[in-house]
Order: sequence, then structure tokens, then C-alpha cells
Amino acid sequence: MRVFRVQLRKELLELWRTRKVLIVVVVLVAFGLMSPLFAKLTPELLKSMGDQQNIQIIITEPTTKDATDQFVKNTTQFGLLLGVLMSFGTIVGERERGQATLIFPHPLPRETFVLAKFAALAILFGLGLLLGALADFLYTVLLFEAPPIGGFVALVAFIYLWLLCLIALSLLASALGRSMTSAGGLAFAFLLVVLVASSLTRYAPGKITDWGHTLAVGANGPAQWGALIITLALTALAVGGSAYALRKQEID
Amino acid sequence: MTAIEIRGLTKHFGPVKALDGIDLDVPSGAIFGFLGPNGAGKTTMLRLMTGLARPTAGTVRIDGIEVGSGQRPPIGYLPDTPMFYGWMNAREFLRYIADLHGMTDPPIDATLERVGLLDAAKKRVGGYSRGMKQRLGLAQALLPQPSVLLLDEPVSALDPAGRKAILDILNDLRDSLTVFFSTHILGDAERVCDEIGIIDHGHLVMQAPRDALLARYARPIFEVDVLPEAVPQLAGLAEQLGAQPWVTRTDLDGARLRLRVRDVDEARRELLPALTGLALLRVEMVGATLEDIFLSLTNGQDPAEKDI
Repeated sequence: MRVFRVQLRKELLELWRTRKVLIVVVVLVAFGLMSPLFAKLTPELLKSMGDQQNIQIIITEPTTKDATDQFVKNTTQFGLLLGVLMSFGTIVGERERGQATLIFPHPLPRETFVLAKFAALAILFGLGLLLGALADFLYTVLLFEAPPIGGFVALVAFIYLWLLCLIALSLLASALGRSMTSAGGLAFAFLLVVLVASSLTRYAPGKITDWGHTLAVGANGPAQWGALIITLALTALAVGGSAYALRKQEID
Repeated sequence: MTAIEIRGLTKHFGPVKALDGIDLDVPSGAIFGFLGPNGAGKTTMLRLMTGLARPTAGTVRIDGIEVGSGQRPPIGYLPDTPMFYGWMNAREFLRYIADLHGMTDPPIDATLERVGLLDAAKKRVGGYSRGMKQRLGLAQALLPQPSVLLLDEPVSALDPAGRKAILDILNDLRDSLTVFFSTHILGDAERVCDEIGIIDHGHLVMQAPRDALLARYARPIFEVDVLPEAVPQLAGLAEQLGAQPWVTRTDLDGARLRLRVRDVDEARRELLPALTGLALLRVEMVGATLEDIFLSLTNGQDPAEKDI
């Protein structure tokens, strides 16, 4: 546990010093702010365009649901892209640059190394998503009405679990890849498989954001327990697989 | 007592035998120079000793602990090109290493001072020169106070001043811990090592104490250098000495006369009187250098049999 704390501190310091904290927080907060704003402005923009061309466009008044729709769309698209980009180089990069050769002869178990990396990214994206969600919530309250708090919290939690699953898969790609290029290719292949699966089956990890969305807009919809269990299991398997793959590898 | 005990160490990369059944013992407190040409298997050996790679067969025991057994031997390791986290400074990096080892009061500043980096302790490692990185690499290996220090080509890429700095530090470590260092710079090994091993094509071709090695392969050769004005006399002298029973061969090369002798003791007594009246520059018994021994062994020759 002591070594894990040491390694986690190093990982968090690295995320801070290399400005990854800033990038993730700024991007997620920006999308949090923009989501209700776009929901509010898009109909007005369309209306003014129609007026200019003497076309009458009938658009229903935007609501909290539109703001929530935008938030889900933005965070699941750009958030997951950011998650993959921030994660796929993290293990293979240290191997490729030679830092692993210097560090692993010290008493640092490779499992701890992987776990600390996952934990640091989980904290970073947890913080970014939390701030982004707060920004979205406050702006939604300002421009519309407050969404159901419980449902919104559930939505954010499910988006977070979905992100963690993709980060874990990217870490696995990073542990399996022999170079940054191959790790990146593998990470995006994993992403593609999970996204395709999400459109084919209700048990795919991506389906938990649908469940969260249903809860956040106060609509009726089926609970996606299967997808939730699969998401958690896949995350654990990917982190465990990363640790196993790294332990089996010889370091150059 | 043996600090490093290697038995039957073998490493194959597909069909390539990088190491082939190496047996090696390094006594405690020795500075062991592990010599070999590029590609001989030196780095592979060190990777196996640190646990970064796994052997195809054989074992490495350091201070009685088998590498790869789950228990970590007390080693410090410096790879040939140490790569750091560029966003850390030297003090932060050493603090991180100390924390990994659970050291409560690590001698960070003392270690930085020992390697001459105390003044640069707050500078980000990303801005360090190659020599500074090498010294920080040595610092991180020394900080946990290991009993065995493993160094992979620690001075090969450094300028003369950088090499001297590292070799001086290694010299200061003599008797306080065991140092195993690979190199292909033979002069450095000759300068600091007290035990030598030579590897070639994955085979250990020689292991011996340095002095015993040099004595074993000492060649019975004397060299006489004279000033230019004495060169005309040298030919006559060569002929005269060549007729002596204790001389087996003479070679004249400009202002230098080389004598291969049958009896070194007799040559020591007889040579100097024979040179009386000659404008001498230098008279020396030529010992074998590590370079001679290394080149001969890695070419499959016995240096003791090498001709002048």
C-alpha cells in the first residue's frame, strides 16, 4: 500500500506538471458550460436564419432535456476521446523512453505501477467530469430548470464508469503494445469494438449512459443492470490484464 | 564471500544464443570489470541480473538471493542510457526512489554531493547534459545503499572529464560494496577494476584478478628508446644484443629497439650495462595491457603466445 501511495503521488504530480490536469479539466468544463448554452441558442440561431430568408421555422422551446441531451453527447464523445488519448501511451511510453528500465529494478511491483496509473487517470477524469457536470448543472439551472438531481448524479456516475472502462482498455493496449503507434492502434481498435457492441447489444458498456440519460431526464426506460455489470467486469479485467501483461514482459 | 553467483546462465532470443551457459563468481567488495566487444552479451547479462529479463536457463544469486524468486536482491542499477522523468528535478527524483524503498531519512543531499550534482539539485532533469544524467543515474543506484552495484557501460558515452568523475566515484566505493560494471573501454577497467571477466559471443572466455591476469600474460619484452643522435649506434647495439644467450629476438624500428628475452631476470641484470654511453630516452619492460589480452582472447589467441 505504501508503494502504491508513492507511485500514485508520482503519477498525479506527472499529470499536473505535464499540464494534463489543465487540459482535461478545461475541455470537460468547457463542454459542461457549452451543453446548456448550445441547447438554448441553437433554436434561436435557426429561427434568426429563417427570419433572414423569410422562412418560418417552427421550433419547440428548448428545455432542460435538450441541455441534458447535449451534455451526454458531448461528454461521451469528447470525454472518451480524451480518455483514450491520455491513456494509451502511459505504459508503453515509459517502456519506449527507457524510464521503466531505470525504475523497475527498484522495489516497484509492476501490478502497483499499473494500478497507480489507472488510479491517477481515474482521479483526473473524476475531477474533470465532476467540474464539467457542475458547470453544466449550474448553467442548466440558469438557462432552464434544474434536472432531477438524483437522475443527473446517476447520469454523471454512469458516464464516469463508461470513461473508466475505456481508460482501462486503453491501458491494456498500452501494456500490450510494443510501441506508441501499435498501442494507439490497439486502443482505438478496442474503442471501435466497444462502440460497435454498444449499438448491437443492450449489455454493452456504452448502454449504461443510455440508462443514466433516462434517469436524468426523468423518463421511463429499462434499467441496464447487465450493461453495468459488464462495464465493471470489463474494467477490472482490462486493469488486471494490463498488470499481467506487463509482469510477463521483459523490459529492454 | 561471494556477492554474485551465476550458474549456467543462458539466454536465447529465438535462434540467437546471447548468453550460453555462463558460470561466474564475483567476490564481495570487488570492483568487477565485465569486458566484451559490442554485442557480446554484456547488457543481456545485466538485464538478467536485475530481473528486467528472464533467463532461458540458469540462475543468478546476489547476496544469496536468487533473482526472479520474488525476493528482491539488494542491488543498485545504472542502465547504459538512464532515462528520467524530465519534469522532475534531481532532488524530487531521489526522493521518489527513497520513498519506493521506504527510506525514512534518505541521504539525498549527501548522495547528490557525492556525484557532484548538489548545485543542480533543483534544476529539471530534462535540462541535464548526458554526463549529469549519468551522475544522477549513479546517485539513484547508490541512494538505497545496495550491497551490489550493477553498472552498464557507465562511462562509455562520456567525455574524458565525465569519465574521470564517474571512475573516481567508483574508486571511492572500493571495499564498501561490490561493483559489477560492463565496459568496452579497457583503460577504464584496467584503472579501477580488481577483478576482470571477458565475454565474447555469449561465452565467458576469462575471469581472473586483474593483477594476476596482467602478470599471467606479461610478455618478456624490453623496449629501448634513444634520442635521434643515438639512432646510428642502435643498429650495432641490436646486433650485439642479438648475439647474447638471454635474447631470443631483436627488432629495430627507428629510434626504438625491442628485445624479446629468454630470461627476464638475467635481462634485467645485463641490459642496462650494455646501454652505457647511449643517449637514452626510455628503457622499459613492456607488460601486457588489458587491451592486448582482450583483443587476443576475443580473437581466439593466447596473448602469452603473441609475438612482438
